[in-house]
Amino acid sequence: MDEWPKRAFALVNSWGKPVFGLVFWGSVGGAFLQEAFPDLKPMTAQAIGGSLGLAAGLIARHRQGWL
Amino acid sequence: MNSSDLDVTIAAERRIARQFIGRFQWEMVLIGLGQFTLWLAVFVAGIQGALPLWAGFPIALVCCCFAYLPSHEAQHGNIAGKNERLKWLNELVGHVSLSNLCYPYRFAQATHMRHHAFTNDPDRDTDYHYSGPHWWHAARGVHRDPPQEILELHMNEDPVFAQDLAASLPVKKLFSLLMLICAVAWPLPTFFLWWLPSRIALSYTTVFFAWMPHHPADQQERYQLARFWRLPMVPRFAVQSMTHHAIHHLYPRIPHWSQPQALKALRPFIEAHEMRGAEILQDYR
Repeated sequence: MDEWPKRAFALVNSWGKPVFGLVFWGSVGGAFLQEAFPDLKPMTAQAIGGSLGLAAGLIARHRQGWL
Repeated sequence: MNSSDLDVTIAAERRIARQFIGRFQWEMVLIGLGQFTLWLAVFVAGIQGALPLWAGFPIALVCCCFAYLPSHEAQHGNIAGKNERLKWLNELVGHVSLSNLCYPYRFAQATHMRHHAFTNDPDRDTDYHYSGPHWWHAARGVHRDPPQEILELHMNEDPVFAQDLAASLPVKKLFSLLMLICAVAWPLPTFFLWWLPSRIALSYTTVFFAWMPHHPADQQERYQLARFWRLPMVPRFAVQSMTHHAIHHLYPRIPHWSQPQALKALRPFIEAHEMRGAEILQDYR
């Protein structure tokens, strides 16, 4: 059997989560932060959200799940 | 004829069960395509500001909660039934209905067939990681990846299973990409009308479709794979009739909508084999 399905599956399972966390929570988390703190600059809000999302994604990658 | 005269052999049981197999299950087409269309309409309305997010969220949640059942029927070929000309509907409903859950149909089908083949086997059942002492285990477990070692075992044994998983990858990636694009463009509608409802619905589905019917998931004998159950004050439609999921494990090709009638006909066999929870069938409607 070809090895590539296994490798591709493992790759998406692992690195997809940090990327998803960074972009998704950068946007969503940023939007929430701006709603809560209207004075916050959009870029700052997105950077905070994205950092948290990236951290969650890396944890998810490590623990196989949670995103 | 008294109960001791009843023929409770597997042959007699199958003769009765066969009567309920094969009809076109139009109800699942309606639920599957209907819930997706409604969810999409709510999502678009939320994006456009025509529907407040607080009003759209519960509708989107209900839609997502009804996403899995039609696809599950499609996975077993139970939408078309014996209608060869309608088999394409299995594929259509199977794929479309799972879209708002971002769940690839091929992956769901391949792993679900392994669940049926190896129910409650800790080393081979693809749903076994949902079992545990508390329902919370399943609600949380669905957001983790399935155990890699079980998937690899089946991939090594069956090239078709490996192909199905490989085919599901692009679909999974496409769903993630679509959600990311939507999150960048419309963050809060995507969160409240797609991400959050789909996450909650996945937990709901896993608790009521997997954990409740199989708990404690400790036996692999045909009549003890699943149990009959109910929750006080909760009507069975609220859990999509998963209260009698046990009959689905006896006869997966009986359409979901025909299960209550089949249950009445098969009740003597269920009781003869002392299936767990069968006492609830005494006042089952």
